[in-house]
Amino acid sequence: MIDVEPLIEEAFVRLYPTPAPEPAWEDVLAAARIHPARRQIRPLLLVAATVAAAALATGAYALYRTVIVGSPAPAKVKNMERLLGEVKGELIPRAQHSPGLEVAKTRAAAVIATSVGPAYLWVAPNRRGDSCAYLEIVAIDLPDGRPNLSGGCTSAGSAFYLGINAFRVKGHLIGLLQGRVGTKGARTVEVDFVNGTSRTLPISDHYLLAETDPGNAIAKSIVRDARGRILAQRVQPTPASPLQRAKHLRQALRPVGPMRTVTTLRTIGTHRLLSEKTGPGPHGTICSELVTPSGTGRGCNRRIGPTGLDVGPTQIGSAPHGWLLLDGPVGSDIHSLELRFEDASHVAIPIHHGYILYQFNPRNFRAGHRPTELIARNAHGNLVRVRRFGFLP
Amino acid sequence: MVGRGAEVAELEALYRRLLPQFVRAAGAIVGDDGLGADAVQDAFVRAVRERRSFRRQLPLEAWVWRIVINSAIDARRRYRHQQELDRDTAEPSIESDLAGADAAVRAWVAALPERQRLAVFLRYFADLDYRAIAAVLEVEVGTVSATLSAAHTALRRSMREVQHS
Repeated sequence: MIDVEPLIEEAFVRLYPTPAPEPAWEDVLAAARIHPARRQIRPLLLVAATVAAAALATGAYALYRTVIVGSPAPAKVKNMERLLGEVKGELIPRAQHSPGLEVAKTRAAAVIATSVGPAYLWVAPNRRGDSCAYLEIVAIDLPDGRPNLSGGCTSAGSAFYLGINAFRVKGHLIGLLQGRVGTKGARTVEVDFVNGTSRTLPISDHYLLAETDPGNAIAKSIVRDARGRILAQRVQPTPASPLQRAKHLRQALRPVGPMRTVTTLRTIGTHRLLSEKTGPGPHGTICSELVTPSGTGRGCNRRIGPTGLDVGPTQIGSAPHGWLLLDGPVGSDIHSLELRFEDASHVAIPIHHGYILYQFNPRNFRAGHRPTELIARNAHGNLVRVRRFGFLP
Repeated sequence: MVGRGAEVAELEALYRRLLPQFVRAAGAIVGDDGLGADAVQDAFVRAVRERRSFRRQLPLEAWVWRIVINSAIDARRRYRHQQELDRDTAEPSIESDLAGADAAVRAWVAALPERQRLAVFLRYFADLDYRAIAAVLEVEVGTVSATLSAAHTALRRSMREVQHS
């Protein structure tokens, strides 16, 4: 089974960075009509040392070809952002939802020369005030010259996140340390790695980007201002390198016996063949595979009980042409399943050898017609389980 | 005998020690960091006003968390036009373990029912143990355990989903 707790902790650090709010206890007391017992000494405002900051940031302002930090993005980058931001989307719960990028404001926040050539970090705001960053490694640009961007949006608050990603570039595996520091006055980040080494990286326009060993992991990071004072620091609770994480996932998802097909499905409209397979997994788990033309996804979980219903939505591809499936194992006591929709319609879902594989019809990707719940009944028609879907309105 | 009431100084100490965590969780619930910070301020105003009603049958921290969570939920209701708790992202187009994990966690959080979502936030933002989460959400400890277990199962599914993309 995948140990998801470290994944959650790591992802939450990036998705929901810890803010650094200014304490305002006196305001609490004033609003509660309580007189403070003593006056609070407000922390001195940090004054940015412009000259020192400029000196520290010099390294990041390196010129590489025609792109320097602060350069507006070329049209090919903006076009790819539009593609990522407006065409891609999720089927349900947020059909056609876009991060609302302000593409025209895209600029280079970091420019580095890696062992495989230049890499750029393009950043842009979005309409919700987030900060969106897209990494371009020039060596893996698409054959037609379009940049092969990866990235997304995070809150533009004052917190910071750092992470190492591994990329396979023309046979070489490289690691890129990427992060964002929103803390006011931050100029550098000292990164301590688990192998005992340490690097101090300049922050450029709130971002940092550096090449590093993909087998290394961040143990601790310290954000400092221009005078070297610590503004924030974070100890990684479960440090793991990209390679370790990938290995962990591979081991957790490796079946220990043959897989057999339990059910198949032809996709609506496109008639592509999808298969659900099962087989024994490590540590007494049972693995299931969803085989699609675009790849195979596998999960290994505990065996479910007779009234269990480990069924949920799986999205393959993106809106508007992706598939949203409902699949998973069903307990032996469950003899029938009924899927209900917002418009009061319903459909019976067949169970094959204890599994279901069902494709949501694209017409249910609209508000008012979305799936609401799955009703499971036993052989006597009695209600066994109800699974309500968390689709957003 | 169970003690009654909380001291303003105790609340102030809690405020100063845990403000970033309170704002982080409230911001995630509301969907906006600024409104989350406001919700925390409102929660502490209420905690100070109602400090005499605190019963020491549960830790003060759990009592305050309950008020913060309720304040954030109220703020979220007022903030209906942007009610999604998670952040959108473009789909990563190249190999990226972190992006994959983020996408899975994002999808997972978005799909969680309200109570599971609160339990998850309290577990991973507030670092509360199951007993404290149960006290905050006013449910049994077993319910917290089952809720988080169900949530983890859902995340494993999301992880598998990400493998496809």
